[in-house]
Amino acid sequence: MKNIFNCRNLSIIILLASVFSSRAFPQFGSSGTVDARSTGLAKTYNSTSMGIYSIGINPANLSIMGESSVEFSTIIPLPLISFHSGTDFLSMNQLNYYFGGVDGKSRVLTESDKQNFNDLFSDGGSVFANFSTSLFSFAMKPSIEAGTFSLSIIDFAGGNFTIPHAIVDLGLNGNQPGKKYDFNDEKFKSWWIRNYGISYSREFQLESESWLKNISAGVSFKLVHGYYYAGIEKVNTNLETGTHNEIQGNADMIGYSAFSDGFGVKYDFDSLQHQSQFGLFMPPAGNGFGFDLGLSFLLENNLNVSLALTDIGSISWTKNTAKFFATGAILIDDLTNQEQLDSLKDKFTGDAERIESFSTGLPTVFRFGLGYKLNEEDNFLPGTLLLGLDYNQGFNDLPGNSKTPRVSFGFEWKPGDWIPYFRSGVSLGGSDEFAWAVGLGMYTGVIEFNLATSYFQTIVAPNSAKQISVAFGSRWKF
Amino acid sequence: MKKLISALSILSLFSAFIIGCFDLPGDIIMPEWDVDLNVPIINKTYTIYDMFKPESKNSITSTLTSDDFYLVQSDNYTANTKVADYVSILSQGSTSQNFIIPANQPAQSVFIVFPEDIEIEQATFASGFLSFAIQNPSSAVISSFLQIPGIRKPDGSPLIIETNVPAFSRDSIVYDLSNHQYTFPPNQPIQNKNSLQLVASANSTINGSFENVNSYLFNFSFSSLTGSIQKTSLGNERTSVSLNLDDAADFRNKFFIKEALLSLKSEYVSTHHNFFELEIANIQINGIRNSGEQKALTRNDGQNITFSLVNGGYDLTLNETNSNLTDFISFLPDSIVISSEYILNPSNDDVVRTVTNQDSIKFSVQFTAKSIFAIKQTNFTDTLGIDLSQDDRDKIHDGIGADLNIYLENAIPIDAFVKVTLTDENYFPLFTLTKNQNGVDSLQFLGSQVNNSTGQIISPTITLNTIALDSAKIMQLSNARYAIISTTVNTKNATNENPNPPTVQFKSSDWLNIKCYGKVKYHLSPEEK
Repeated sequence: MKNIFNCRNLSIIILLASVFSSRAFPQFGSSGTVDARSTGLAKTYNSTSMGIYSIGINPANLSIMGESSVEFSTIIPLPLISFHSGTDFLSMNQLNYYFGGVDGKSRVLTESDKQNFNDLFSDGGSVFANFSTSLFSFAMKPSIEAGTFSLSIIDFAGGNFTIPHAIVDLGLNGNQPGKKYDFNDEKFKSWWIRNYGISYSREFQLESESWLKNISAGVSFKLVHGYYYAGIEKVNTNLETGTHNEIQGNADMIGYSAFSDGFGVKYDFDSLQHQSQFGLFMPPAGNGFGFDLGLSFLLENNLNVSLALTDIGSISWTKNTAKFFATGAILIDDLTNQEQLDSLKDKFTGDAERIESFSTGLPTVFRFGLGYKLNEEDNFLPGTLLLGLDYNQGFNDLPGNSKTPRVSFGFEWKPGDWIPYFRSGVSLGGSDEFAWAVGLGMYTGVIEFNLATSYFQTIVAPNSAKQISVAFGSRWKF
Repeated sequence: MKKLISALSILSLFSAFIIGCFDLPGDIIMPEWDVDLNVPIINKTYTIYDMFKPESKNSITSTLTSDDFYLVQSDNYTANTKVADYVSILSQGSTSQNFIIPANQPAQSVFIVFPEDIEIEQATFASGFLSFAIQNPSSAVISSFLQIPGIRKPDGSPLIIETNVPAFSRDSIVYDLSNHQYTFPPNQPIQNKNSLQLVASANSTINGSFENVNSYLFNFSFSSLTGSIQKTSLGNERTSVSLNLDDAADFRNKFFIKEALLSLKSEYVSTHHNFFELEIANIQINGIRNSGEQKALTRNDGQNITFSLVNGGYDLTLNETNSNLTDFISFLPDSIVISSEYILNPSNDDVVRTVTNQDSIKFSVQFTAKSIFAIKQTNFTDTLGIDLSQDDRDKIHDGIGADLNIYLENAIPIDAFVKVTLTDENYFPLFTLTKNQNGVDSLQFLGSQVNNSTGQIISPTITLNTIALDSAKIMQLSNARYAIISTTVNTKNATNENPNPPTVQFKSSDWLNIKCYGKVKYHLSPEEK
């Protein structure tokens, strides 16, 4: 694409969006970052989250609070921060090997090195980063009959970029005659959005003899503000080198972007530029609405079954909106033909134009979970044990979400007083692939502290790990 | 509070532990590697029309259509010869007549024959003189009265010459006839049509006296003349035409042409239609090289080449069947000399015709050698400068190896052999680009397949030459300053050993497609990325 952004502003955008955007609770997609408690459970949260931690996951679980109780979170004493970044192809060892040099000089790659590096991308070359926080969350349960109310302001910034394997192959081995290079696997989506949410949940207690003890239902309504979006909507570009080294193919790419005026972004095709006024409360570039629906069933023997459909809705982006596109056939068979060279340049740089608006969805997910709580008297271990099993199915590939189903298992063990909660779990699928999560939780009476990583491989085998994850935060409970 | 401090301590330790586990590289240093780039370089199709279109090769051809191609089509060389020159020739002769004019007698007619016995009905003199030498042998003065009834002065008055010659004296009279009109007098006997009539009389005081008169006609030329002229040789004319062969001279003794045509045209140009017949006889056409070598264009039947301009024109076309024209053109002379004799009224009839000094004979020559020919192996050598910036030379220097493929699909029946030698600034050879590693064989580009009997193209021929350059040669290439290109061409099967090489046909739509592509092995280092 053309250098349509002011580079300085774009750098600021990415840096600040990464620093200030966060989210605290399980929400936004099937694989996105969640609060530290759920992170420690390998994001097994559908039947195990409760109170304000259930906002965005299953509003029905808001009811899992004591009567006349209040929960809230702020940046005091410990801000709720969750960060997860990495790749699905490059470990720290591999990063050191290929980009660490040899005695301070460049490593000269052998054919074997090239092959191995190329193979790293054979199953995808995805790079992602999700960083989130909650500015404020509050939940109150006056009584069972009145139900549970909550308010929340939750920010999320994230992005994913999939490097097309063809790019790596071309860079390492050059263009091989007869081989078709598809760039269709290139993906890029990044945004920063904020939800102003209001939720309500009500539990219905049933007869004690029934196998179904309790039913909870909840709903959340969200006003969504988007501060920037940049994404590739479609890539269907390919190249092939013919028998006489003629390079032919097809360019087909469409992308969109939108930025808040506060970023001061200037497009090349536009003479208008707003002054950069970056801050937490900039005017949004897009607005939308969404809602979550949730049900939770408490069965006999402390078995909980939950299901939810979250983030149903869309965002309409209207500020500083642009469309980027490149279409047409590519043919280079004569390097002395300036017309061909100009055409090739046009196909790769593409064109850009201002558009009135475009819309994106929200990271809609269907969630299903089972939870089982073992009390001290039923437990073969000392203390209490909470077990959870989740299935999350995203309906799009927006940041934090994945159409690849994710299944996870997690447990939370509280051996006894003064001993922290020990949490762990494994997750398969989604955008994280395999992840082993570990976390700790401390309850000090009115404040709960949680710390976790969803990628424990980083700790036990840091140099072979491909991702890094850390989440921590606190919750006030009264 | 104790719980809070404990919790925060645990969290801090846990965070530090995670961060401390990583072995991050101190600096990101991009690796280096070798990469093979398969690049297209050239894909161009040329037709003969493109290569020899008129604006670029004026000396080669002036007309092209989609299917015709003329290797040589000369300009239409013309030479105009004024007939007046020939009419002037008539005046080279002179006539005289002696007669006696008796005094006091009736006037008598005297007839002075025109030079060359021409019979004039009407004429305008461009020049000419009438001269009289008169002798009076008597003892008394004699007055002479000479009237020329056929001639009128420019003002239209009759020409009358009067003179008095004293006793025993002589007189001489020269009269200039310029711009005078002549009309055959109606009362002049027809048998005296070839003569100028003079009516003379004299008076004297002595009866029986007389004068002796010597009359002369000379230096006659006419701006127009109607009459009859006997068969007359107007002399020889010689015209030389330079062909400006330039580089085409390299093809001498290598070039064999077919279907050449020599078109010779002559035309009597006049404002009137009653002109004389003219014969351009014994036309000699000789090709002359600067070295002095000559070849004559001759007819196969041994006859001279003669033009008879009956009814005003005569055309003659010579080709390979009626002459040695193909040999003549293949001789590729630097100039062609044409000489001939001009004969007026070759049939020597008495028909009255008109000639003026505005009449001319237009004589034109045009060579057209249609593109059916053979070229024996012919070599050209040229030296080209390699103008590369130092930055470009540095980039070439980073190359490790390269394979350059030259794919030629040739629908033109010419084989070409190319040898490129790269040299340094002192013309010291660095290496020769060849199709193999021994540095001897040239690159070969074979011409299209042709029908040996007709010379027509059957199918294009594909030739693929691959030039392999190792790192040492690439290093030399980065230092190359000149390319000495030696090219040898011949038409299909026209080897030096073949004394009668087959000819091939060319059309302007004949084409060749050249694709140049290659694989470059390049070492990518951090500064290139």
